[in-house]
Amino acid sequence: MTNPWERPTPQEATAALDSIENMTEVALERGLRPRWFAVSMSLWVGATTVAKAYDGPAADIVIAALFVGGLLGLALWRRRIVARVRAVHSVVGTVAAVAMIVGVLVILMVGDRAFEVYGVSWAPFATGGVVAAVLFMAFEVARRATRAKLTAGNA
Amino acid sequence: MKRPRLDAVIHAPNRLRICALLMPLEEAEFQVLRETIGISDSLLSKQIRQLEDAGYIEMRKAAVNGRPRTWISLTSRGRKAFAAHVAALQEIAALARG
Repeated sequence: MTNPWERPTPQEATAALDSIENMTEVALERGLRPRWFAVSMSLWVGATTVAKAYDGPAADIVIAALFVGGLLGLALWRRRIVARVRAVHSVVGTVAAVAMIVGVLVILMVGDRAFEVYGVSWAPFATGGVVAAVLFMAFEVARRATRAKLTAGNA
Repeated sequence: MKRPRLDAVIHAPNRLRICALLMPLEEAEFQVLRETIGISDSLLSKQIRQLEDAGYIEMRKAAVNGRPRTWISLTSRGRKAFAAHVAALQEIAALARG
């Protein structure tokens, strides 16, 4: 495959590397989940958490509507995908994901107890807000870590 | 240690850009390549065929809402060849920096 007659000059090689860098940027822009996806998912989970915590007469209907609406949104979004980035696995990422799930469960339990046992009326909203914020941060950290790893892999 | 080698199949500007675009991706739709590289369907198909003949990329066809979509990805052989090509370019570019 190697063709010694086509060996580029250092300047041509530098230009080719710049072009590769540009393409990597475009690929990551097209392939990574957009930030609005993280915002939507976080708000969706946060709203479901609030509805679940209130547990009023219409809670089941609200939760079902949120669940179905969210799944429909996800299905529509999946149809629009035109590029997917490679999966990047790391031990730190896995540990962080497990810690986040445990943390969210603890927040849910604390919020639930604060509302039902101690009657803190704003607890469900606080719980939903915290869960949404944690989820958004997790999406953002994962997005940045994937970007950094894939950019380094292409350099 | 084996020195990185330039790859004549990858070295052509459009094919280099196709490989660079696909490298961080699991797969991409034909339309993304066309829009990003900015060449005609026929020219892009020709470049893709050359990379496919070298065993560097593979294609997958899938229908979404009844419309055919072509997904393109680098093979592991293609990833290795591209990584070696980039390493060789970096070696050459380093010469300019002394």
